[in-house]
Amino acid sequence: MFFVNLSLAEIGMIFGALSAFTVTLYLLSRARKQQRVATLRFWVSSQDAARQVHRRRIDQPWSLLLQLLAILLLVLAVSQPRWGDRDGGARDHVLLIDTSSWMAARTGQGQNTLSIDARREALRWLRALPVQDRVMVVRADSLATPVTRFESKRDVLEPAIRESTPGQSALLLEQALEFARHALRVQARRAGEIVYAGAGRVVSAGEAPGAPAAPKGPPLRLLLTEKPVENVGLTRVSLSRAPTEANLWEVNVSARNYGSQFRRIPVAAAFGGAVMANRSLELNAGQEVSVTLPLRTQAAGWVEVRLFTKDALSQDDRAQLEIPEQKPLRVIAYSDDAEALRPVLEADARIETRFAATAAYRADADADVVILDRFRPPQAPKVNSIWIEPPQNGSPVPVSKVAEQVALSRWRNDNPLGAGLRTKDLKLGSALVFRPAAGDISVAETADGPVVVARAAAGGNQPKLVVIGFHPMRSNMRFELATPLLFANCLHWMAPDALRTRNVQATSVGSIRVPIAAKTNPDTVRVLSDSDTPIPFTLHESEVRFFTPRASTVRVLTPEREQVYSLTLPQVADSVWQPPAQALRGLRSMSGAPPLAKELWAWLATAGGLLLLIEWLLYGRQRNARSVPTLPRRPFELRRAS
Amino acid sequence: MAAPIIERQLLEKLERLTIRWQKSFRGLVGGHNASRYAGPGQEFLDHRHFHQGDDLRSVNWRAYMRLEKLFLKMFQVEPRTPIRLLLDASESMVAGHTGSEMSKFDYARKLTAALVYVGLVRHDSLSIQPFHEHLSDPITASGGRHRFGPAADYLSALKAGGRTSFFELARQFISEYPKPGLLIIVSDFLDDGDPIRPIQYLADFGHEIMLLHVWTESERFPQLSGDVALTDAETGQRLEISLNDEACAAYTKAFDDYAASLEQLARRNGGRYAGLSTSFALEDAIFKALMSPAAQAERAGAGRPA
Repeated sequence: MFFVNLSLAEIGMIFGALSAFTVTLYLLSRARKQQRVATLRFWVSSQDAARQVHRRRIDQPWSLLLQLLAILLLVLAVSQPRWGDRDGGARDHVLLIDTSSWMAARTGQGQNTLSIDARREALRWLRALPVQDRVMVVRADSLATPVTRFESKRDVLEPAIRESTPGQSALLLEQALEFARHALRVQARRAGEIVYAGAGRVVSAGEAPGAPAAPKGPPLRLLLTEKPVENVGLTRVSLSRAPTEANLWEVNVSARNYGSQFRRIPVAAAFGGAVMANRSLELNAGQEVSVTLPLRTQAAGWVEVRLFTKDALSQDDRAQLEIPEQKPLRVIAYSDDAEALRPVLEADARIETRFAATAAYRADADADVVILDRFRPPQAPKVNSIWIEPPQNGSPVPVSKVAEQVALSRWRNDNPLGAGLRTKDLKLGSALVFRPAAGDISVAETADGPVVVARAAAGGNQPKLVVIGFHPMRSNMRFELATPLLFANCLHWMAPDALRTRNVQATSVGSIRVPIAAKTNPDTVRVLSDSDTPIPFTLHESEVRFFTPRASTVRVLTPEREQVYSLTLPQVADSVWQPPAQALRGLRSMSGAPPLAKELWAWLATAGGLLLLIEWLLYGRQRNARSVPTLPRRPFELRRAS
Repeated sequence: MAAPIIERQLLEKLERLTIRWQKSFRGLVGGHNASRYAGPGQEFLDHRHFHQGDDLRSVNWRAYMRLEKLFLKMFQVEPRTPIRLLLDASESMVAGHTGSEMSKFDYARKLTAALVYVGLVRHDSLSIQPFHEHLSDPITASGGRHRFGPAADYLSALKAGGRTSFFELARQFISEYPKPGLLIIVSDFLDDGDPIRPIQYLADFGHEIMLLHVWTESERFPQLSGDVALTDAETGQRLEISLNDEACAAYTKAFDDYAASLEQLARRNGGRYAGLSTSFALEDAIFKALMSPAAQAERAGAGRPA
């Protein structure tokens, strides 16, 4: 026997309080009442009977005992006792509601979706369960998210089922099933079934999607809502700048036919609402194709890629990507021999170079980087600067000596400025050997000392500068590949944002793998959400891996690249899960409700009411009974007047 | 403006009634109750032999012409008999009633007023005299119905208080009113002493006594149970008692026995008794309880509603 509503302590407390109240009232009713009467003469004659009454009143506590017993029975009735096992054969089930993106697919001409069908089936299953069975509702997509604990209250479970709407990610059913088994193993009092309500569309993930595993542990029941669904959707859209032209973007579009029929689908890329490029895709059943659409624009904005089709799943027919603002790196080269520097500075479309005579030098020039070619400016530049073979007395880094016919012995590849630079048996005719200060970066060295030195901003306000002790284009180095790379490294070190490579991709939510350069310092990698909050990630060899279950924009920043992932496409499952043969299907073969624990409250309430009635009949009614008035016994003498 | 002690509708109904008594009293001519004493009345009573000194105007000369004997005609006297109403104004008359009940004193005042009006309509002379420890000053009402106002005002202004003493009442009444008459006592007859003997004295003195015993339902059927401390309203004595229905039944029996002894007292002395509960409407008390059976039969025969 167990109590549903109250614990034993609560029953004791309530009964104690009510009993105390009743006993108090009983004692108060027995207290002597004060009464003013017209005479005492008749009471004196009834005193003998009154004394007998007093002796009988010693036995009147039976009335109190009856009342207390009735109260106890009524309190027990309120506590809703049940005779039998507390569990009463109740079992705990886990209901997996498929909330993957595929569940948003329409199943007919109306607004009915696979998700609505699945929820309807889940509710039918829930209502067919014995009332004492507990259910944990789990929303299953790429994550298994429990919505309720094991709960027997239907008014909690049914809203949880109704509010399970499709998300953006695909279903990882095995993971959800493992979660359900674990929950039943750890939390359930008596394990029941694992019930899956959904379409059973999963991501293959390189494995055989339908490898039917022998069911372990609790039985599996399937409430499948799969119907033939024709759908063509975008799987990936990427946006990258064409290497040949600064204003040309390449839009790479990948689409897949999830249906069973051949489809010819127009695809278009629009920028600012205007269609900039379009193509027609021909897709066989289950085929995925990719096309590249050119897009020419200088401005930043949104690019929309759309498949013009009416299919079951509209969420994967459209993707939006943002073209970031791309500002060129402005460089002013003060040189009286501009033609010597022009090849290295105009090779990159992202660099906007302006040449000026040394006489036109201005310290506050409107540029990001200033190149000073063999002259000493009257005032130090206020922006980042590259000094080429400055005068000995005007060099920002002190010159220790002028070396003649010196061999360049080493490039310091351990810092970004020397990354990738290499020369063999390079001998410089004349080079300034610098005496670097503490904190200065040596980029290239000879046997006499460094000939290329970089000085980072000290305290954050000072501009960066690189001093080259020889003229790369007027020395033997002008034939080396290291020359343009040296300028590229210098400019990239000074303005990393301007020269960072940007890739924009639209893909689906879920687990994202981003390739990065090998040996990238993990400290320089950042993964940021659209609100610039960090997203947890892992580095695995040359991949950054992170997971996001909802549509958002994620930026992956490395020193060289900025990759923007517009996770607006749903992750659509591409294969049908093959359930185990032993799995139960539908609502058939549901075990009948086990015998409920017997309810006792009605009997207790009836018994309590009967006791109160008996007490009233024995004691209460007689207290209230009074005789009716009677007419006077003899008439008076009044007579009508004659 | 205070409510009248009796409603006008009831007063109109009371005009049909007459207070009657059974004893014959000597008194002045002008009343309406016949007396067994012969006198200067209008109704013929009897003949008797003429004696010297009798009034020759009463000789039946027609009988003398036939029988040649002198017979004297005697006429029935309808004397003007004094009606005295003694109203109990002791503390017990206002004690022992619940909030929903009319007090005995109020009921007794209304009943007294009704009797006064009935008497005034028949040109009776009535005196109203409250009593508790002793007799208070009387007020006399006579001269017709238009003299009812002062009597009603007097009754309305009365206050109850003090203890009841029927011995003192009898002693004082006998000494002040030597002429017997109709004596109507409206009271609860609750006295610490024995009220039977003083009333018997009054009857022995020649008064025709009418006892109107007034009680409340809660006084006859007390709504008490359990342990109770009772306080006498007049004496202040306390009695602690434990009650149940049996004790209350014993109380009611004692009350009824006492009422029966009062009735027996009245009947033994040729008087009358009526026990009236304040729960009865005043009109019902007068037209059902206080009317004689003959009068009720007469009313039924007349086809009028009771």
